Amino acid sequence: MPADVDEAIEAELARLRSMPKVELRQRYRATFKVDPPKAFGPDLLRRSLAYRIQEQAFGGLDAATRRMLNNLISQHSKGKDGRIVMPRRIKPGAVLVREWKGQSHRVMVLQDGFAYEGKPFASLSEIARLITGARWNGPRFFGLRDNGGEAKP
Amino acid sequence: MTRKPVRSASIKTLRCAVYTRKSTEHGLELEFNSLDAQREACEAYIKSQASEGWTCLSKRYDDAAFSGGTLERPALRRLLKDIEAGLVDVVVVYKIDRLTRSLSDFAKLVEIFDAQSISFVAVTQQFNTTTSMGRLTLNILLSFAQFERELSSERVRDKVAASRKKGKWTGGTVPLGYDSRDKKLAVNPAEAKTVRMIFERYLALKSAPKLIEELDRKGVVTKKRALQGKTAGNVPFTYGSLVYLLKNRTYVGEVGHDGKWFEGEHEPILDRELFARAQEVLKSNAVRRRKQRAETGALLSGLLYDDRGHRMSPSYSVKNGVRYPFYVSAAILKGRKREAGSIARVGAPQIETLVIASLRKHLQQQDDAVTSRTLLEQCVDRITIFPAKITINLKADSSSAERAAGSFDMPWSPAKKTGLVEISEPNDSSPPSPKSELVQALVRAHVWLAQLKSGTFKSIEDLAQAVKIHPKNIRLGLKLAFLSPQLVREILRGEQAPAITVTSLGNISELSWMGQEAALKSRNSHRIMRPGAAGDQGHVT
Repeated sequence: MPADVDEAIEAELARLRSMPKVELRQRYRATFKVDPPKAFGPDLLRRSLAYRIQEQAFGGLDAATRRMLNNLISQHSKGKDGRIVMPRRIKPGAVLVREWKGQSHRVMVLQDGFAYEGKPFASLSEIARLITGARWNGPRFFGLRDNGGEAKP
Repeated sequence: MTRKPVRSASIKTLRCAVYTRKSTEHGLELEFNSLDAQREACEAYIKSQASEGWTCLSKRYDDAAFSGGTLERPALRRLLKDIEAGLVDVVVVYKIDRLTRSLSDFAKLVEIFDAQSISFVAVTQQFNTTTSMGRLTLNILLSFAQFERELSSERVRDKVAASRKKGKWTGGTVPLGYDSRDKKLAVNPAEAKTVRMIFERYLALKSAPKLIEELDRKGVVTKKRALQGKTAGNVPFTYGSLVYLLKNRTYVGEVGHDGKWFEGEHEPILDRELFARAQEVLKSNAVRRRKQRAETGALLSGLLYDDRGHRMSPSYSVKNGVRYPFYVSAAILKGRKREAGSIARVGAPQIETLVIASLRKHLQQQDDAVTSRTLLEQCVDRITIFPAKITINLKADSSSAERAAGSFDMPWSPAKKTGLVEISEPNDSSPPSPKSELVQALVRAHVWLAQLKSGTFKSIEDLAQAVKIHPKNIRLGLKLAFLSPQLVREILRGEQAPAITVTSLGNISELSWMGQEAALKSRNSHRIMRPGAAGDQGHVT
């Protein structure tokens, strides 16, 4: 990260701090191409802008985290009283075992994906599909969901 | 003088079953044998009790040539069945030990008798089992009966061992090619020819399965043997029975006992030279059982040893249905933890990748077509784990192309307890799990923000009313929707600094991401207890 970019961004953020609400709303319109939401006070306007500025400069969330967050958000709105199931992380080197039609299938968790029968896979769902021929949710198929019901490794 | 009826109706008839037993066949051919003698005595006794209403059942329960050591005797089984059916009121025996010579069996029998309220009488031994003294006497008698039985079986065992050492054949299954005559092995010429043929064909074919096919074609079968009332043998050879025959040293005139072989008294069928050649072929044919690798994982099973020579076998711990494989020293499995090597457990993925990588490097075998498994099977004889190095011994007869013999070392350091794959206990085998309250708060913030953005709620106050949370807390909570991506990633993966709480995130005022991270760091490195600040009195973890 070049220092001058950093400097410029920090200066920009400092300017936002002292910006009056009218100006913030204009800035918001210019940046997001929509009218600022009615409920947004100066604080929310300021934070939204600050986040967007930095996102454009440094890049935002990586895709995986983004996906994870969106998953949780949709769970929250769908689920009962906004409860969400915590994502489970499994250490590399762990082995998932699943019985399917009398065969036991073993998947090794890698640093960035999974190994099944010596081949790397990006997601458990792909492996589950290979095994069953149907579109399972991978984590659920391998029993990593408490609410999976049938999936029990 | 009119005779009175022998029995008044008031006397109940007692049906008596006479049980007799003899453990050997000796003397059974006599006209009046021991079983008859026992029976006679019992019947006389029953007659003497006729005034009590005892009558003898005509059905005979005679066990000829059965040991008193078990309850597996046909007549006794029949007797017990009839007892169950309620056909018997009294069991009469000549002596207690006719019924059983085992204390525990006797207890079982007494239980059965009691259940059916059957009395049982030993003609020549009077004791009254209704008193404690009588029961003691009975137990002592039975203890001696059992002792007697064990003593005689020991005597027989010793006698067999001694006779075998002298080369006498003491019975048992007679091998093909011999007959038992006057308790000695005598050559049966026809069968002996068959045995010689089998050995010669084996030397010619050098293969048991092929020989079996040939024998089947010729119709050669195993020796027919008469067992108690049944016959055995006289069936086609199987691999097992054939190899047993080929290994049987009886054919060179020896008798075996307890795995040792002694010069026997019987005539040999084969000359030693032929027999020895057959043994050679057998040995060369013996299936060299390769150490079986389970087809699942565990590449190094059978190869890995700790530095005190204990084999390390694959194992795994389970947490939440996820397996964490590791290798563990046999000493630990046997509960001899103190004898285990300095590295007693090691995570499987770690050691496997290390070994394979260094092996490929050492053998200059970078070809991916050769799988790790075959590489290990072909080249590696033994892998030993020391605290700071791993020694890999290579196979001498390795068939791989350019290879260095002997062994080589590679440095390594076992993973820390918190490391990637070191697994010792299941409870430190799982990665940090996300703090649910942080994730909840983060997700909630994003949901609120979206609701405000989309106009679902016209103001923060409306939202506050809907979710029944004070507007002030909504404002604080909303800050979490603007955390730096780095912080979001850490929170979702549970990798955030342990001291971070929902409150400390809500207290962030910085707009800049770097500023946010720095603020959290400084707040965690010296958390100042602000007097009077409620909800901020958590312990530093």
